[in-house]
Parts: sequence; C-alpha cells; structure tokens
Amino acid sequence: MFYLAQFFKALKIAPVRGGLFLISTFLLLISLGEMDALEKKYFHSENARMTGAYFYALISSKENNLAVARKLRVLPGVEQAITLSEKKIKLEVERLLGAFKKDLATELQDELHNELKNDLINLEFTGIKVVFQENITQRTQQLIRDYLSRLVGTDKVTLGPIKKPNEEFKKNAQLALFLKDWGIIGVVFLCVLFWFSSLQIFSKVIAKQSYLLEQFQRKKFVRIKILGVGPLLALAFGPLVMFIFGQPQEVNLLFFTGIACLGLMTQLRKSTWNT
Amino acid sequence: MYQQTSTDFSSNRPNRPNRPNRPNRPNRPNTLGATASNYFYLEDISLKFGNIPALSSIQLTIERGEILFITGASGAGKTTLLKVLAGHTKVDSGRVESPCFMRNGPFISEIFQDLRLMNKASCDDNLNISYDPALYAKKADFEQDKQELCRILGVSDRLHLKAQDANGGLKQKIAIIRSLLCKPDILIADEPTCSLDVENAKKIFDVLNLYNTKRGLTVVWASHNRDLVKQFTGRIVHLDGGKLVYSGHACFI
Repeated sequence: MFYLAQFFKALKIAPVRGGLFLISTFLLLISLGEMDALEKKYFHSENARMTGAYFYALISSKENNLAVARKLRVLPGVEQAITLSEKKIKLEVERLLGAFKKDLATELQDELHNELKNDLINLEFTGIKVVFQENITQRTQQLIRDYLSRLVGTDKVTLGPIKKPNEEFKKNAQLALFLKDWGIIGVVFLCVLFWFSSLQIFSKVIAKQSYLLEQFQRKKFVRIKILGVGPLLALAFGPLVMFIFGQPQEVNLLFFTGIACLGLMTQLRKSTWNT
Repeated sequence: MYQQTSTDFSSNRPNRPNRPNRPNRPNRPNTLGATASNYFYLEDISLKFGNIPALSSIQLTIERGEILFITGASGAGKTTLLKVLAGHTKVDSGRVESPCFMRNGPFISEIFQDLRLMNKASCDDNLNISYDPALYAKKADFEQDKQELCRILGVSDRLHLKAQDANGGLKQKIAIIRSLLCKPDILIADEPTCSLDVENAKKIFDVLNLYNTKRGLTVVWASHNRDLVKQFTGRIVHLDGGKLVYSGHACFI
C-alpha cells in the first residue's frame, strides 16, 4: 500500500512520464498475453501462402460448398480452398455488368432479369477458389479438377480456367507471409523497447523520491518496489481488458513477468541524489 | 590492507542467545579492534583523490551515545571523513568498521551540506518524507513530534512555504528536523548550522543534546567554526590537511 501510494504520488509529479510507463506496461502485457489473437486479427492473411496457380469453381447453391471445400483442402497438391458466398458472387456479376456501358448494362440486366424470371438461367451459385501448391504438375492439377467435378456432379459445377498469379500478387503474398511470420514478434519487440525506455525515464522521476525514502525511512530497494507497482497493476487489471480479445495465454503472462523482473533488476543499483 | 567490516553490536541483535558473562572484558577490543560500545572504528585510514591526500593515517573511535565534533578549516577533510563514516566513500588503506555495513544495524541519518530537500515540495512535505509507519504507531505521534520540533526551532508558521522559496536558515532547520523525525541512532551532520546565527546554532545543539540524553543519539557534527563548537559539550576532533591533529573535550582546549 505504501509503494502504491508512492507510485501514484510519482504519477502526480510527472503525469506524462508516469502515464507513458503505465501505458507501455499494459501494452506489453496485452501484446504478450494476446499474441495469437492479435496475430490472427491483424497479421493473418489468406493470401500469405497462396502463390500457386488457382481456379474458380461455381457450384449450385443447393450443394454444401463448405463440405466440398473441406474435402478439397485435404487433397495433396491443394494449398487452400476458399469458399465464396452467393452474395459475393452476385456482387461480382454486378461489377462485371457495371463495366459495360450504362445502356448496355441496363439492357443486359433486364435481359438477365427476364431470363431469371423465366427460370431459364439460374444464377444462384456459390463458389470455391481452389489454390494449388507451387510447382505441382499439370496432370495433378487436372486430377484435382476431375475430383471436384465428380464430387459435386458435372452438371452442378462450372470450372474456370487455371490461372497463374501475377508478379504483383506474388510480391504481396510474400509480404503477407513475412508479416504473418514476423509481424506480431515485431510488435512485441517494439512494446518491450517502449517499456524499457519508459522504465528508464520514469525511474529518473522517482530517483530522488526513493533516495530520500531510503535515507530517512528504514526501507531498502525503494526504487524497484515503486516501479514494480506498474507491472503488478497491469497483471491485476490487464486480464480484464485482455478478455476483449479472447482468452489470455498464460505462458506468455509468465514471459511478461520475466521481462518485468528483468527490467526491474536493471534498477537494482543504489539510489543516489544526483541520478 | 584495506578492509571494511561491520562491528558486532550484540545489543542490536535481540534474537541472539546470551553468552556467559565475561566480567573482565567489557570494553576490551575484540579481534576486529572494535568494542560493543563503539559505533565506529577507523584504523589508520588513508584516502587520496588523485595525488591529493584527503585523509592520512586517521585513527578514530566513536562510541555509542557520544557527541563528536569534527572541526578543521575548509578542505581539511571533514566531509570526506563523514562520507567514510557513512559508508559513501571507500578508503585506500586502513580498516573501517561502521554500522552502515551491517544488516539491521543502527540507523544512520544524515544532514547533508547541500541539504537535499525537494525544492518543488513544501517544507511540510519535506518533513513528511520521514514518516515511517514502522516507527510511529500513529500518524498523530509523528505529527506531534514534528510540531514540537518545529515549535522549538521556530518554523511552525513557515511550513507551507515551498523549499525553493525558503531562506537558507529555514532550509537548514527543515533538513535537521527531517533527520531527527526518523528517530536515528546516529546523526551525521555536515555543517548543519552554517547558515544559522549563534543563537539558532545553540538551539539546535540543545535539541541534539536532548536527543542524545533521552534517546542515546550519537551525533557526529562537522563544523569549520571551532569557536562555536567549543561552547558545546562533546569531544572535538580537529583535522588539518587530512590529518587528525587533536582529539579531546572542549574544556581541555
């Protein structure tokens, strides 16, 4: 309680530097404790590993495209099978029609609308984007397409041509892959750096205060005890915030405790008046 | 060869089982050269700053409950000697036995030459830093002590002033009160009355003398004003050029 009071006294003396220390401590805790959740939320990209050739398949919406995609994913040579919703496909059709001149588009839409009314063309499709692994043979690609046709039924599926991703897409995919692998680690590293810097800055604020307390009260290591209040507050109240993102990772909370202890150890030197 | 060791103050270790009485050896030096009644024991200590000798072959013992004045001209080595006693400075040669090197030893409080007050805080806040709940059963006890000391030294009406706005005398009194409020066993004061007139200096000595009598406070007081300390009771140690040239009571000078 004494050190908590001293911590808030120091916050009152230097609100900016103290606030920075407190914020950086919470950021470090959240970045470590919610590493997986943050990685999925901000650095996960479906394009990350999809640098191989791909094709689209339109499947009747009466079929369960999720089950089809699941079966495709376990096939050797398939990197990813992404389901496309009916709504998304309709939007794509509208986008394609929008590319025509306005009067022509209206004409086509009317035409399609009439045909839909007459039930001559059924546009109720869902889709699947099948991405192959890189460097697989054309024969394997063809076998996968045949499997899909047989699985759904040839009259219920329309397969698009096999396309290769362009260089720009590949570059983007490489960047996405890099971010997926290193993004969250970078964020945590920055949080650690930020925390250590703010610890040094705030430590200077409380140097004289802790020196006087050590001189005139029978107390020792006052500085690290006051600084230790920050991580303790974060550990006490941080998990409440962390549940917004999901279940905190307990092991990483231990890492946080370790880093906090390491940081505090750097402040283990005896306080002096001239620090 | 330089050695720093802590004196064995048996009375400060209440859990230690009592040894059988040794009637003929009450104050006899032990193997380290200190006795149970000594707080400090310096044996042939020397210290140089570069080529300049700050202390040369100092031999000094300070007993528990003693009032010791260290006098000497500016640059004689008074502050250096105090720093050695407080454990802030290591000596080049000789042996230092000081309670600052031991765990749970007597508590040393210091009055610094630069006073070390928090300038942006009020005088009252500067005094409150000494409030240790481990020493005072209630905050009211601390407040009572504080008010009493402030009243004696005549600063009660100026406690609201910020330390940076206080005059030299007020600052010095605040520093002295702050040191006394933490109920020390030993008080090391470096020129505590340099900004005060003789009357105020006497008042402060009276307070310290009272603490010495009532609570057994050991006082080590450095001052360049030899005439002033001659008026007080206590042992005077005179330094000249880093050498201890005299040790004795004022009445014999």
